[in-house]
Amino acid sequence: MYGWTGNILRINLSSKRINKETFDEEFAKKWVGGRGFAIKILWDELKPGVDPLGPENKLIVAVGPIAGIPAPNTGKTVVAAKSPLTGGYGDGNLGTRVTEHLRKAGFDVLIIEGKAEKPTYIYIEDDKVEFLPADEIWGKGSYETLDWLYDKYGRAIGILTIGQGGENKVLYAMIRSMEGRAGGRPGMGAVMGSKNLKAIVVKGTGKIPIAEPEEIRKIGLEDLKKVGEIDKKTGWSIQGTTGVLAWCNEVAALPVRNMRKTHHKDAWKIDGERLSKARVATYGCPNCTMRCGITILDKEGHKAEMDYENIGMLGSNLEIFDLAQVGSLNYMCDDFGLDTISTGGVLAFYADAIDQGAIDGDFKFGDAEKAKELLRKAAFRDGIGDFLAQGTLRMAKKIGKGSEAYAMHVKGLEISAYNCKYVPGMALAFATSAIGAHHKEAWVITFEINETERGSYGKEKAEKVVQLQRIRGGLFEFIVACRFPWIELGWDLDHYPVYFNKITGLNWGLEDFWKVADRIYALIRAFWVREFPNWDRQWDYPPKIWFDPSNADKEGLIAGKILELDKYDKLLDYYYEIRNWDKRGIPKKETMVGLGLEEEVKELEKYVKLE
Amino acid sequence: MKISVKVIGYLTKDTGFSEREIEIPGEITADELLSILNIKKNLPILVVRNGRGIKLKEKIGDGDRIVISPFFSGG
Ligand code: SF4
Repeated sequence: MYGWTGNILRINLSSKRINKETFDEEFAKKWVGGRGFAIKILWDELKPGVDPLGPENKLIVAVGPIAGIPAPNTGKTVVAAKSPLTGGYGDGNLGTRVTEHLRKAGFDVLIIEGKAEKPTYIYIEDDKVEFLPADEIWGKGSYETLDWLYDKYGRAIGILTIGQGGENKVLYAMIRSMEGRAGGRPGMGAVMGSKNLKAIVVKGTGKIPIAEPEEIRKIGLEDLKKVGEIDKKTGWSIQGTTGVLAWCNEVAALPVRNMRKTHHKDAWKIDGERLSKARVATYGCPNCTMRCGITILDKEGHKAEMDYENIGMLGSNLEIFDLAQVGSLNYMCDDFGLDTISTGGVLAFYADAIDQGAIDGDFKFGDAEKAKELLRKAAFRDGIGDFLAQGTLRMAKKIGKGSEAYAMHVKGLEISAYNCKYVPGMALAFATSAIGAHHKEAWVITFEINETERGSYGKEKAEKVVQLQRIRGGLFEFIVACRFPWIELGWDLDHYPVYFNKITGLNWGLEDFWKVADRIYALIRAFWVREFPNWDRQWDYPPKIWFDPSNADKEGLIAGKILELDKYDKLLDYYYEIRNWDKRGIPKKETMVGLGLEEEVKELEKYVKLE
Repeated sequence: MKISVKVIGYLTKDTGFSEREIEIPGEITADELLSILNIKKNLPILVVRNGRGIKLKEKIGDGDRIVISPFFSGG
């Protein structure tokens, strides 16, 4: 078998047992890698109802066949587990040197189970595994931890780590790597912390099995160069993703004031242009020639790496329009290992609930210093921080008084930086994303605003959401590569089957990838349903406030406009129809069987009746 | 005729400015505006007129607010 090492490394932290297991070509072709491997393993190995922060939960680290090969933007790894934030399937990808090292060590997947007795880090060198005491780094931020490990092992090593947020099991703690890289929004860092696992260090010295090594090397390196040239010619990485802020502000889709408003006169103060002028460094993932990590100095003089989601959620959504202060919040999130999107959502919800009189407190929108204090408290679960560490869904449940309506999350995951009070297709994309409200799977908003009637609920919007989910939430998450060359520089999708085939020796076309993507989406949905057997379509609704006429903008471009529930329902029906899921949003039996999920049907039918 | 133009992201490399009012001789198409502003169409471009996406052949006229940006596909 080419393209895959065929090996899984299972590490049990409780027993310190190590198992080297294998998978065959059928498994490889069915699930391909990354997210595909992760959902299949979690489905097979986790009993429904396990405590996500208990030793029974498993942390999966998975790469895909093109990961780590010198070709455009292949430096990413997927981390996944049952999410402590949502209770459903959770994952994320991040740029890290672990990608290449893990494959060179001879593995495509790590399964981490159990719980270490004391704070520990794992050192993997090829097939040797050491359990080492983490006393010196436990309690330290992720930057200091990375430096400590770099000092010991050199900078070329692969590291995944957590900050204090993960140690303290903040439900939206992430896993960190290299400068500003982070992944696993729905609490993958908390899962690591719950296992007393501070870091995973990987060094691989072997070879990745490739069908046509010379060919892929030639094409891959040439293409990396070409992508770099397109970037230079266009200047994309001058602002990277941060140009989106000004655009969202102009089209009234910016998150402002816990998404109550859609635009703000001061937004320009934190936009891509200001950010790129303030730049002191640029960071990026391995194997990337269009590095997008624009780095500025924060208020305290730290280097803070920013992207659009950061300035949107920690800036405009909190009405903080001081770039250096937004930088500080961003740096603190990275250092503590907290998700910037959820942190911004949580703080905005807290300010909003105070503002609405639903809860007492002294935090106001725009108060950057107080936001920093609260963020620190959340990371350490100190005082009010313990409340904030639970995420918006649980906070709203505790507060009550109608606050659930403006708790801006779907399935428990905070909504990323697009305010969809009048963008129905993007609202559908958030509502049907596999892990809760994340933009990574279907960024339909530019298509929607530019090529359709914005306020319409036509089938073409649902079709676009599914198409993008297949590409972004499917292809790029299971071959495991960064989607930016395709989405930002127009790098043709047809390149990916070429890389894939030269690496694996197979002969796949894009259609084959879409089938895998649909299989993965169906099984992820099955995972959610098995956890929550009373599942119905309500799970795929965006927050109530987007349907509330009193929340419509009072002035500007979309004054008086909101989402309409009956029409949204129709759009959701289209979505289910395209996926051939039933009206509850559960894959039909024939759909699952058609995707080769016969065994999974039997298991799912123990919990819910399938149509 | 005056229009207000906002240019976003790397396109400012072509125009040399990010926001300004400009004088146009009469109604022009979005495509003509891109030429006037020296914007190279290396990659797909989004033109928004008064908050709505428009096609390149569509007209722009007095008082319009035009936002020109790369065809973002998001983070
Ligand atoms: S474009 Fe950005 S996110 Fe993608 S690989 Fe490069 S640095 Fe990483």
